Amino acid sequence: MSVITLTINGSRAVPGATLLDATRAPRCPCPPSAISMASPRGGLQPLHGGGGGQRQAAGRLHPPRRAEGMVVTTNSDELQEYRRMAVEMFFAEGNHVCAFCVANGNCELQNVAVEVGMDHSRFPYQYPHRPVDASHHQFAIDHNRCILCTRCVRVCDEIEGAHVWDVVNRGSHCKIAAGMDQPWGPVDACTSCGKCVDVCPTGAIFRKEDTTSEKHRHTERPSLLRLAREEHHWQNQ
Amino acid sequence: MMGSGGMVVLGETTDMVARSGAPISCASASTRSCGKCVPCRAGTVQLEQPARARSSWPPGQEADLDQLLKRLCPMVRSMSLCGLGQSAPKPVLSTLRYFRGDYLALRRPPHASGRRLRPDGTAPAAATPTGANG
Repeated sequence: MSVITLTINGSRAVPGATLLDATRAPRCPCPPSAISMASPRGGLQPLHGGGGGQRQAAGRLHPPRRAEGMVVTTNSDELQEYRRMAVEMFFAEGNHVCAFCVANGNCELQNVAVEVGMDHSRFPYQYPHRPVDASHHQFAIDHNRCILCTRCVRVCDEIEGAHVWDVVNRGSHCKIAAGMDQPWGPVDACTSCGKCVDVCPTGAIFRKEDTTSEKHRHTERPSLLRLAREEHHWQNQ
Repeated sequence: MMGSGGMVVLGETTDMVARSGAPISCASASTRSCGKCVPCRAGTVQLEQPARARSSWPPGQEADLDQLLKRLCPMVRSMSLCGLGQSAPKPVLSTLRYFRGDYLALRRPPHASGRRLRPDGTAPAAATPTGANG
């Protein structure tokens, strides 16, 4: 494989690095879509890119369509505006009420909103009717707070291996479904491991004992587990 | 631009905001969106808003409606991950370009004569023959 040289935000990336790796190295503000504990997902990552002086705004990093001498910008006024719009859309499409959310103060959506300077949504709030499923004995899922990042889907499938979660329906009716789109409690495949609680960036999946601002997730646990399994090294061995 | 080989025939006085290809395209995109990326999943819903329920736009923000749509359309077009979302805002851009008066008319009560406003938002002159496109 030939060595590919990328330039990201003015700095030269490590030869052979993928776009995703390269943008993780320097600090670049991005919406909560990419995670290291599961497989890369082609989520929304606003960037300008193209080889040979070509400039084109695009919404994705993965799969990495690399070209020799490619120059990628992840930060410009236009992209910052697009990011802010995306965050506004997240807030407008769900029912995000920080004041009594379990993840208040410990929420990635909240952090990104602060980072992009969003204090209100210019788009009308949709106020969708979404259910809360508290049928599981330890955890609950509040679909009002879900931003459909599908981290729970991927962590349950790829790390826990249970594949309890999936996405159903289309467009604004999309939602995370447990088992065969049934209440979470009766799903036999669920091992109650709590990895979906740890990866959920908002307060959508939470422990029942947590109340307002009490959700503190162990963000490192799934990636540590993956590392331990790949390198066959555990702390107690 | 309908994108699917479809054709929409419109009369001279048709409300271009509510009944043109723009809301049809956005409505079909929002029901067909796979829901993976937010510009397509939520952006098409927002593009459809002015047509679906005029009163749903927050009070006081009507004046910004066409300006916001002008910024939202390129965002949905360039940030969507696949062609479905990328092509959805095209009819909205077309109607914004050629029938901006209809969008501006959302700010004020419908024109008494029912005639279309000019692209700059002004009412057509009284002497204009009925059905003339300002």
